[in-house]
Amino acid sequence: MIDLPHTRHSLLVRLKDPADHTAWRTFIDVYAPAVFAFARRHGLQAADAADLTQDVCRNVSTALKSFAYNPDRGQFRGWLFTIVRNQLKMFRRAEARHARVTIDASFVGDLPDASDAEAWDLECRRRLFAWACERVKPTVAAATWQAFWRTAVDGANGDTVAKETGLSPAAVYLAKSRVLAKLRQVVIEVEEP
Amino acid sequence: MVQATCPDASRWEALLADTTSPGEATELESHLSSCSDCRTLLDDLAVGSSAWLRDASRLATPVGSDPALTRTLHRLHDSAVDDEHTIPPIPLDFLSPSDQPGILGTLGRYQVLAVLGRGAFGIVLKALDPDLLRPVAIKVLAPYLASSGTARQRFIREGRAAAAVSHDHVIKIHSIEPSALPYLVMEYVTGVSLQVRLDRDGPLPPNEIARIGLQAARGLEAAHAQGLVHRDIKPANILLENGVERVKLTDFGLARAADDARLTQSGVAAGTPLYMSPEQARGDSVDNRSDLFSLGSVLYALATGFPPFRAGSTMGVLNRITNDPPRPIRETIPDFPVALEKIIMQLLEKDPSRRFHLAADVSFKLTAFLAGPPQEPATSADEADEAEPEHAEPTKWWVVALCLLAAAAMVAIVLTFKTSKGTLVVEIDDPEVKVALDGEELTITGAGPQEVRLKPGKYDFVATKGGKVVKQEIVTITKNGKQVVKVIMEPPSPLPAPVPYAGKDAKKDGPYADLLDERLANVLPDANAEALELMRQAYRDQKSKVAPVRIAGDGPVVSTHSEYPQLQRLMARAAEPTIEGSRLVDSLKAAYDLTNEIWRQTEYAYSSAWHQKFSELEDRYVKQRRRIPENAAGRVINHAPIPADPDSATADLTEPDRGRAKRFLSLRDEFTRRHPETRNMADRFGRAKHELTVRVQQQRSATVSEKDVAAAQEKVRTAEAKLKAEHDAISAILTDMDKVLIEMGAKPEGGTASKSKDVIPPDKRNESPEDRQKRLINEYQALVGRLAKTEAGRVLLIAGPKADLDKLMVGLSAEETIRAKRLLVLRDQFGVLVPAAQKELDRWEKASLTFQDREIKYQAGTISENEFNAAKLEVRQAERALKNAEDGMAGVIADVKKLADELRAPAADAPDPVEGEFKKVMAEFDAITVRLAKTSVGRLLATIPYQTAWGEAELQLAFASSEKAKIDQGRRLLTYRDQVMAQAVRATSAFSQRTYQKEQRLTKKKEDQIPNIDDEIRKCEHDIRFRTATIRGIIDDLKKLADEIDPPDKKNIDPLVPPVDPKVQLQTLRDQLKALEKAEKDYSDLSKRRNDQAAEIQTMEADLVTSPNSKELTAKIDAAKKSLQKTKDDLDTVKSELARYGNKADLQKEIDRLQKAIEAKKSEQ
Repeated sequence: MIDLPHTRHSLLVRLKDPADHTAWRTFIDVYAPAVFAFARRHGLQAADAADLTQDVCRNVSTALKSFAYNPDRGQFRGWLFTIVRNQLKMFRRAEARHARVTIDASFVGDLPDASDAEAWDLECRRRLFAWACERVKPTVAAATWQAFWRTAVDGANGDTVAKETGLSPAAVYLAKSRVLAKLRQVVIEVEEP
Repeated sequence: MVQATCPDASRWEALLADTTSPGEATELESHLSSCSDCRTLLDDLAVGSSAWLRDASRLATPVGSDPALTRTLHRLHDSAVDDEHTIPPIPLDFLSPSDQPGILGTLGRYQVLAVLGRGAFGIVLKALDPDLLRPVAIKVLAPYLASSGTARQRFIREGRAAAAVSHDHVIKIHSIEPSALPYLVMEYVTGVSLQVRLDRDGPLPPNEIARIGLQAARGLEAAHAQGLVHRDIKPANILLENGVERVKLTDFGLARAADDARLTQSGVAAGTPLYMSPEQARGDSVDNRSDLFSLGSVLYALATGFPPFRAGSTMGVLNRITNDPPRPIRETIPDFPVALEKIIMQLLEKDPSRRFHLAADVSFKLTAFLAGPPQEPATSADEADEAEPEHAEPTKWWVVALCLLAAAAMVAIVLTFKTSKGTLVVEIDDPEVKVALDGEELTITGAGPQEVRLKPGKYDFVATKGGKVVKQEIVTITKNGKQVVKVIMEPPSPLPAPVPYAGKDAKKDGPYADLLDERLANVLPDANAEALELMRQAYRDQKSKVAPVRIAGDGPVVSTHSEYPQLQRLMARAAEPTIEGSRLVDSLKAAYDLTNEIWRQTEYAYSSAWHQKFSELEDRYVKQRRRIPENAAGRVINHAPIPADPDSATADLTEPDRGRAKRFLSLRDEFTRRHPETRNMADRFGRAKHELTVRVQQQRSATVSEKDVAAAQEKVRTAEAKLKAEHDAISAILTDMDKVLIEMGAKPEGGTASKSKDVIPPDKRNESPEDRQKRLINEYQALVGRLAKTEAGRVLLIAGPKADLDKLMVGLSAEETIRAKRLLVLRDQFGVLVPAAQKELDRWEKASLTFQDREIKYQAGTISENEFNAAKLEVRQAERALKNAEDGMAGVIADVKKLADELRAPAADAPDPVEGEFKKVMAEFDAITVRLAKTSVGRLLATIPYQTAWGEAELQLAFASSEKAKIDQGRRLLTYRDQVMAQAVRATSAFSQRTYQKEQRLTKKKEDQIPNIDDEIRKCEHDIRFRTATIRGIIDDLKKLADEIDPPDKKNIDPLVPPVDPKVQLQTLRDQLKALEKAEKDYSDLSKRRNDQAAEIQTMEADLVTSPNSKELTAKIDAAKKSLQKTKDDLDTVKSELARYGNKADLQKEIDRLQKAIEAKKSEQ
């Protein structure tokens, strides 16, 4: 269970098939909010962020046509980030075209790459995590989920949680690990680790 | 560290996979409860290479749900290509209930009968107008959108734009109600939409398609002419009026006046994408050609039964629209006419410039398709591959079949022909001659010339006698033309050899003119002299009008006008020697119309500044009318007709009211009399200015002389002087009106809310309420920034709504704690006030809009005074509420400031040297561009904005190819500009980033900050400084270039007008001086005469006193008075003439200077 050979292709490959609607749904559910949040962080109004998200999705579908899947190339996330960044640049340019470039302290422009990429990674992971949680939560018992959540997310002590859930401390730890494993399974469906 | 007694990894894996035996499981579990290392190992195994999952606490942030995001996700998920899913259902509770059966409710004065449908912006209702007893369709803005000021304004604006379109093929908009829930009232049309028809009947026959396309194109023409782009052409928006099956375009719901760029950049992307154009799908800007694409998609759907770009999801459709070519129609419908398919495919070109440019072109092509098979030989590439028509009617030429519609739009009103056939006149003097056309024998019904009506085309005319061919020729029948064939045993006269088009260097029309005349005469023998002259004039006009279109001039760069290539093509076609008949007429007419349009727009561009000035005078007038006080005098003024007889209108008033009212009325009437003429004057000025540029260009190609140029300049000067005089006069009238108003007790100008955004707070006179709110918020944030540097102030930033205040305030002194708590209270207050103020702002905006509208209606007399006053009251109340809210905000800010001072928060950041330097260098750049703006090279900066792709072509369009120096300067200028802007953009990014980092430093806890945040900030500043230095370097070069372009030592040479020959100028000035001297003499003569006449009248009046009944004397006095008046008038005329010539001494000086210059030049040579 450590590193199963990837029998399922990552989302990137599946997206190339226009008939795979599920792949698109997954993509939208997981990444569109990340793009949106990224745009908002960069100071875009909600409406403009929404537009940017749509543009990114559209560009993804176009870019996929000419994309050859190369597992060495790196992660889907990174590839997507390039698109998002370019889209943001284009948006900035269009803005500059409409209004003279003035120094407005509230105008948040492009941040340098280092912290940007980190922020993007974090945002994507957050989305993946949230999405995976949505998928996994209904498949485990309530107590199991609570055990996981309280220990992994809230960082509570195993014994405390054992008392809360009525499980033995060992069972609590096991629950945590098992849920983590399930989350992992879901996550690698979407992207390589 | 894994102890020796710990189970190995494979056991744990098995436990995770639940493949252990129950016994083993229990064993492992109990080990787990005591061994933390194994717990870690277990987790590691669980997450595998996704180690990041371990950091769950950081990952699990609550994700707020933004409604914009939710909507976007819905849209993205749309697998059906129907936009219905994205619209929440709209309840009808905005209607007022009604007792009458069959009526759903009332809206305004309309009785709503049914819901007709839903659109992206609202719903459409069927209603009855109880006054006019006619059914109407009402489109209501969805209530959830009506609360947004922007959406509401857009809706009203669109309604107004669409209402300006009045055309048979566009649904008429009767009225717009700009209330809280705005709605449009439109004509109601019984019939079905094209979508319904398509669903019901399937693909339509080609002629139907062409007919529908033609009508739709005509409707689009009308809308585009108003500057409106529909943006949502689809079968559901094309109605077919019952009975006549007349096309009506509707639902300009997404239409937007093409010049409206002020609303938010993010246009709502709702709407069926199936018929969108590629540029719409990409979110680029759209123009009229986008509608043409959509029309093409619709026609395609009519032809095959389904739209050209289909896919399983919205995304897929947009993709296909942008990238995939449409499948040829003939692959689905094999016998579809090639000609019609060609038209549709051209409409579906991805590149807008490859489509038709105007809806009119589409109409033309469709008409031609409907009119029958093409008759002329291919004269240009596009016609060369037009295939043989497959749908040609097999009617014989002599059958008087009703031909299909002529291209009615094209034929001028001057020409009087009605049908589209031509006449062949056959004259035969020998009865034994037999005549056949295309092999069919023509029956001679008698002696004399035979007239045969034929469809336009070429016919093989063969005359035989006794089996032998005596005459054979190809006869061309043109639409409405008459062709005479005489079978007189004579060889036919040869056609004159075609003369090649002389080109733009020709002085006049050249030898081609005569040929044109003859050809025109042949083509239109029945055309009256007027029509011929029109055609001749059109041809001449084309040549003179098109060439100057290439100058940039003061107006827009018309040479990049989108219609210019079209015009070129039409001109080229008209110039071809082999073109003849109706095609020539059509081409000329079309070119003439197009040139007129371009001409008119350019003229308007020249005169627009004056139009604007007069429009401002109008605004002043309107403002003054609003200030008329509500007293007796004011009421009289408001009710007096225009024009009014001052005495009778004010009969009921007493002095001093009466005097004032009379004065006001006469001023008002004077204004209303003079003002309408100003438009014509401005137009004349525009025309004169344009003519001047034409003459200059013509002078360059030596078709006119310097005198002509000077004359044109004079015309411009005169027109401008007249305009200025008129403007000043009208301005003076308005000032006088103002004086009277104040006497009558009205408030001084600027005292009331006149334009919608003029609430005047006591301290900032010219601030709009929006700006004021923004300013207040900025002030608040600046204070917060200051406070952040104190311990107590930091609490303000860190404390969330449920924060543990005691914990946070642990390090503060007692006093600080009190203040900190107070700050938090103030912060919460402010947090409530801001949205409240925003609400009041919306309410006030809405009230102002209503008020404006009501005011116009009240002045027009369509609503009562009560309604008007109600609107006024609403505005006042809204203003008061707004002021209260903003005062509240200001109050909080004042308190916060006091606390900040008490806490000794350091003052706002010291002036930022980095920002200062950058601003300075950009100001220098601005100064240079402004300085260069008055030169023709400098104007390039405006016409070719930053990040427009430009190349040599653009430069050569702006200047004639002989001006190499200017082209070079232009190139360098643009390059420098682009370089500076590129650096400036990056510097601005760096600024923003620095601000962001500073904010982070303030607001985030140390642990959450990026390490070395101060280094990051320093890096940004370094970047900015670097860019500033780069820009400075470029500006040094730019300054040198600017000096080249605009030499500071020479006098300002107007680049448009070439220097006039000094000798000619001298003569002109001498003439002026002579005229001036004559005027002076006249003036003194007239003055003397006036004085004499006045004295005489005085004497006579004195005599009259002694003999009051002398009729003779009275008559004499009257006559003398009349002469005196005439003298006075003459005197005024001379006075204004003198004013025109200016100062005599200056004139003399100029003459002397010129003389010296000429003599100097002579001695040089």
